[in-house]
Amino acid sequence: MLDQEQIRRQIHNKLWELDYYAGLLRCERCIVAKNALFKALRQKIAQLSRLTAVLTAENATGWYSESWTIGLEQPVFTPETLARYNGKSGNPAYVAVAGIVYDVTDIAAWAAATHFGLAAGQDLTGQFQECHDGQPVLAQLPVVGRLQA
Amino acid sequence: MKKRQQVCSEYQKKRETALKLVSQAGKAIQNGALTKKNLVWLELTGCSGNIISLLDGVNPGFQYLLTRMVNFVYDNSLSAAENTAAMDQLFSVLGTDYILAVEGAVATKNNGRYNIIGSVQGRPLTALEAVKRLGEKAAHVIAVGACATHGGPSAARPNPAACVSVQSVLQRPVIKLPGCPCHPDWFLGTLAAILLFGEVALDRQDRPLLFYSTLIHDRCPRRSFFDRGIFAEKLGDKTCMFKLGCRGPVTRTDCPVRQWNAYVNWPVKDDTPCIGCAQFGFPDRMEPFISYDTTRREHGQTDHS
Amino acid sequence: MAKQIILNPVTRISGFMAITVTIENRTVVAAQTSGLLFRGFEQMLIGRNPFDAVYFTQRICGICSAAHSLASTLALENALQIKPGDQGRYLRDIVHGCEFLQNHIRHFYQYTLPDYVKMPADFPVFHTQYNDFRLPKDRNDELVRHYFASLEISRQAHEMLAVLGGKAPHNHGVFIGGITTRATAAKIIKIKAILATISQFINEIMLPDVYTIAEYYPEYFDLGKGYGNLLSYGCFDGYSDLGTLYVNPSVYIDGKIQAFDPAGITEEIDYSWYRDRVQAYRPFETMPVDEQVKPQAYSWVKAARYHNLPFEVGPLARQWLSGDYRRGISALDRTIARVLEAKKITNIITTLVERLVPGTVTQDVYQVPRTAAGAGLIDTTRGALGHWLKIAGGKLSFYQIITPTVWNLSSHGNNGLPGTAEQALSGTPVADPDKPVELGRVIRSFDPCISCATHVYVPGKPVKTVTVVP
Repeated sequence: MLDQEQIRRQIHNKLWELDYYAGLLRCERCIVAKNALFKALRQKIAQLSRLTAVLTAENATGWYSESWTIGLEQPVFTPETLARYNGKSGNPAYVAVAGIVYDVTDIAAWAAATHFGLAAGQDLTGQFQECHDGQPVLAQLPVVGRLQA
Repeated sequence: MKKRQQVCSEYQKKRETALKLVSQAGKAIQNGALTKKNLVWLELTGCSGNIISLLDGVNPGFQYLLTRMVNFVYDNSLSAAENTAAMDQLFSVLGTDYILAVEGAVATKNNGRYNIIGSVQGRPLTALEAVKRLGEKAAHVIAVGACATHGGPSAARPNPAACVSVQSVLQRPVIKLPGCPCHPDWFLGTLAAILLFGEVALDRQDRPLLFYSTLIHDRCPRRSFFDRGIFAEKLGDKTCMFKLGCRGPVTRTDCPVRQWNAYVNWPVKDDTPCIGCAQFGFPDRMEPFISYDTTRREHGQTDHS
Repeated sequence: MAKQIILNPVTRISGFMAITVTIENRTVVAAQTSGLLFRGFEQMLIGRNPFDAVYFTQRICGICSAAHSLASTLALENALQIKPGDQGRYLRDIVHGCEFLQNHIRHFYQYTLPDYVKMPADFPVFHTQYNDFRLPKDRNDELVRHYFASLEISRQAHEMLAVLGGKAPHNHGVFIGGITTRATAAKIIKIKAILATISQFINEIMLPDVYTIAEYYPEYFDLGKGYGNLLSYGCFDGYSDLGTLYVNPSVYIDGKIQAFDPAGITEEIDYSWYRDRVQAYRPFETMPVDEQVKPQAYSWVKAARYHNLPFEVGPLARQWLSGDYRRGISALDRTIARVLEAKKITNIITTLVERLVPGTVTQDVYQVPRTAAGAGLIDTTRGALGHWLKIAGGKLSFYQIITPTVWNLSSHGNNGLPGTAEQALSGTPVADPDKPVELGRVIRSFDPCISCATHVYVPGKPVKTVTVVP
């Protein structure tokens, strides 16, 4: 069992870590890294909540759920930044259609981040209109941002 | 004693679709209800792999086709005759009731001279000319395999022989059986349906619904891995091969149920992704076939909500 | 008086082909063989994902697709500097062996037999203009029955291939490292069961059948000789524990067997419709582009040469080099060697299957190098097959393929020397110039595969020859 002093010290450390992560998050521009930081941040909060629960002799699981989500303001992509989300080297696969950027990373028809010879990381508005115009396929895709006009 | 089922009864039934139609056609011919039609198998610019695939059929075997279903008039790989006698044999069907099966694409470069399939009266016969002459007069034209249905590998970028599909040189309906190669059951079942009913139900791209109605992804035995996001990292893994480039989600065939070569295996069961060989656009638009440099799961699962 | 005969098409081969011969005193004095199909796979492969070559190149040929999967895999392994383990090699060599069996059985029964056996007239596809059929009725009928019986056997050879390869033609199993799937006990038993059926057929039916043909057509032991230069890149060879089960890379020339040196391979294009800065080159040096208007050229088939000489490749070359068969070099010897090789392959598969460890995984995650080059040389059903590739920027930047048919049915070399099959046709007596049944018999002994060796043809010109460009 930890004594109260040890717990207090740990809470203190966690608060420093939280502050540190918040700082990193503020500076980070890459959405992939940003999401990874959010995940880490949520873990720290969960740990903090467990520690405070022990300290106040409450139910030791804590009040905080890791599934709690922090809303992300939708970023604006330039063609250059969009090109980085090409589904290679572990990056997600994004495509833009009519100014909206969609995540196709886990869309079945986009195996290996390619779809009928088209690669992710680009504006595919023209190609989309040729093949799927009028079809409700876009509604099923997660939106991750806007493409700079 | 009841015969032991090797596979689930639904699968067994689906595998027998071609066999049922073929036996029915065979019986109708035997008891005189139907007369045998002539069949010409024309090989054009391709690998001649569809005739090999047809020889690999088991339900029924090739011998049944030859002896019970049709008058098999001509095929470059099998005809005993050669030279002008072979050509006479080929064109003997003009004026009769015949079905034309075509494998391979039509080379159009230099007016078709990139594929000569014989000679008539001392003049070289281009594949282009042969398919036009025989195609216009046939009772039915069946394009067998990827090259015939849409150009396939023969028309792959940069398309050095300017290959096109059979349909693009014929002003008439063409039944399309894509696949690289075409499964023997797809051809035999289609042929039997034509013999029996004079037609076969097709989708909007002229593929028989009997065999091409359902996405591979929808009947894939590894579908549950896809739904749970468990993905193979290399060939040989037993999970979903979506990240490696599986084209099952865009390819409509009954491979997961029917399987190949006496129903013994198929690409996904062999721990490889489907490469979309039966999808229009194969191969160029189905590539890359195999890709290790791809997205990672945790990134795909970011919170967009 | 000289007379020219053109045979077009030569049926019962894979792809399209014509033969033009000049006859004097009812004997062939000059011959040209023409492939009549051009596809241009080498051009298509440029810019593609290197791994895709394994599946893509199989589409060159429907009857020997596994051969191309082997050669492209070897070339990639060479480029990626990957050495497959023994289990990986056993597994894919079993797949390759199945392809040999499928091929040889189909070539012997479906392609060769109708040259020597009168097929039943009830079926239009068997009608023929020839009448030199010498077997007594009972033996003829027996071989016709075997023609049909063989359909089931060659089909089973492909089924056996699909047990490990996923499907055939155009298998998915052969890949860098070995094969994609694992051999399970159930698969091994399935292969053994099919193999037993095929072995029995080869031993009890196919071998006696080829000797029956030899008995009634003995003059073909003296026809279709060619140069007698033999070459093999080796196959089923150099296992770390088993050694060589079939044949090592080697050549036979001037009555002597010598080691094979890959640096001796060249292609020559003086007589074919290609343009390049050089007229002769090593495989890695350049890949010429097509040019249909070129003085003196008469063919799309380049001329493959080893130390500037034409060579024969295929079952007879291998059987000779391995010491299994030394009766002679002729059309009939070639056909007999093919059947004997089928038997040999069943023994090799049996040996390899016994060594399999069920459940062995041979796959890994492979990285495409930014820049690399690799060669894959292996003997396949029809003979020596080579793939040479280069990778730049992570994509294929160069691809060269020299198929067995480019050796056997090559055009004239830059020195004017005819190709191997052209030479083999010379001296063939033609009893009836209107029905030259002899030509097809000689040419089919080489098992030409024009699908692999793709070409073009210029109508209106005196028929020239061959082509071979996958």
